[in-house]
Amino acid sequence: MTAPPIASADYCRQIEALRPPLLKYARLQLRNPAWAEDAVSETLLAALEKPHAFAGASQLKTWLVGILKHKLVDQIRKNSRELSTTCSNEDGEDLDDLLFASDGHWRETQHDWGNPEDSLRQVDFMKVLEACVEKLPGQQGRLFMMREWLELESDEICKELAITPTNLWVMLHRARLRLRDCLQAGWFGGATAGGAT
Amino acid sequence: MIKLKITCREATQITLKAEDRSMPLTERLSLRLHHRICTNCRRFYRQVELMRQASARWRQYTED
Repeated sequence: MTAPPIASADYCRQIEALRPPLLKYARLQLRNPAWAEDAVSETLLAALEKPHAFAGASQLKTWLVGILKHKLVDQIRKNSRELSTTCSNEDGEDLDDLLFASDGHWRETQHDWGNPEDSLRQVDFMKVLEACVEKLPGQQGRLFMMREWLELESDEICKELAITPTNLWVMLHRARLRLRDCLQAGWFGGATAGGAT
Repeated sequence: MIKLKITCREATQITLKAEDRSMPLTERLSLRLHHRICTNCRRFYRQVELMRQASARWRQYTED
């Protein structure tokens, strides 16, 4: 009889230490603390059960995030019925009317964000971006994360959640516009506040 | 007939839609044409572009 592989205490400690960031991303993706907890627990279990699957080829965190992403897709599938009904009307206003006056012109002058590299290589910018994603309303945030973080194709998302492409686009457009406003307020506008609505 | 002249609303729609599907050639060309005359739409396009790059960078950041 072969004994089950035993994860070393050091390995366990390392995994334990990564639980908080995993939980943060799981919550950002699912917007439901209980589901997020489930997905992270499944991830940690998988990692503890198969310590030798982690060959050290990549960083431990990279490996765990990879597992987590699969578990998150599982959670989304499992709860797809609930997720597809919470769609739309999170902000009722017509997007176009927020941006454009009735004569079709932009209501406000658009800001020049300058050279992207200046912002992109700064860790502080990543933190502002993360905070802005966190502020997205539930379904918009979920869909944005599915697209940009889980890297699912649009038609996959529509299929999983049984929503129409139009519905998905409207939600993603709203998410991107909100994100833009938040980045403008929290970073490009030079304000120190963590972004407005 | 191919319509190349677009409004700012249309330019914005095209810009956002391009994030989730590939941009048809006529849209690409009309956007290009529109950007020649409209600073706001050009800036908006750059903002969306920067957000796309930022998302990719952030994805990496979450894994490191």
